[in-house]
Amino acid sequence: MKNLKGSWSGRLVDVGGFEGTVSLSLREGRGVVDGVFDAALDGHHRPIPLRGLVAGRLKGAQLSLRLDLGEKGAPVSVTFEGDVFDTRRGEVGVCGRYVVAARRSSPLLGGVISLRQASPLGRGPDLLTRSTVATVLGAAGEPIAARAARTRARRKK
Amino acid sequence: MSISGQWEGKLIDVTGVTATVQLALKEARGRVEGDFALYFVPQSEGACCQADRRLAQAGPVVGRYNAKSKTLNIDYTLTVGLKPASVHLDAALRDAHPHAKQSLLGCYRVSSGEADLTLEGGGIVLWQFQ
Repeated sequence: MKNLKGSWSGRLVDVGGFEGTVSLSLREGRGVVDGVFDAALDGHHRPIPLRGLVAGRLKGAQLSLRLDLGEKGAPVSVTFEGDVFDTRRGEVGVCGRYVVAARRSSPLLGGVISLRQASPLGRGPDLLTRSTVATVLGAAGEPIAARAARTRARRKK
Repeated sequence: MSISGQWEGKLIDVTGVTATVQLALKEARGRVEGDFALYFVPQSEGACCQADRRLAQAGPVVGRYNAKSKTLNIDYTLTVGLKPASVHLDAALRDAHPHAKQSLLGCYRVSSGEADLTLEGGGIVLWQFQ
């Protein structure tokens, strides 16, 4: 069984067209999981924040989480079912689908969430970006690695 | 509901890479054939998914569709240099009203390959608008 304890970050895409960033802080013991869910949905003048507590179970590689959002009298319940897996780089990822039950209008209708566990070794996203773009050529035949270097230089400015 | 036709949407990999996806599917008696194109979306600020996207992968796919459970399974084998890698997608069909006519929600995994492929595994949402 995987150790889910720690910080997770990733993205969600909703069938309603919304996208956003997701971060999860999880605790896990004997298959019982709980933690804090944070998301920010893009596509607006300012991101829509979503924050709540999650609780669920881990059975083998299958993770089930329930998240309660919304207000009193207008609850929004999000149920997530996903698979935990090892990436070929030795990291741990989760991907799964969520469904939403809401009494009133909710920006979330249902969708997918993809998350990566923060590495205890502190492997930075910059290193990951470099290794992941190394095999791809751009549309104009330009190596993506060269383009990534330009992007990094731009970010530093 | 049929899954044949044009689909477009988004891919989010656990590595943080995002991409837009176009998929044309033809389904008959549960057998699915199609073609896809994957375009990486730059993570830089101000980048637009259409203007700055770059074709990363395109090719034919085959799979199975279960109309009863509304689930789709697709396999794709690609070669990076001389090294093969396989990609498996499990998706489910669901209503996407009012954003689109219907959607496919799924997760894919890249496996059984030593190729230095950009993607590891993650989620896909595809929409059919017509």
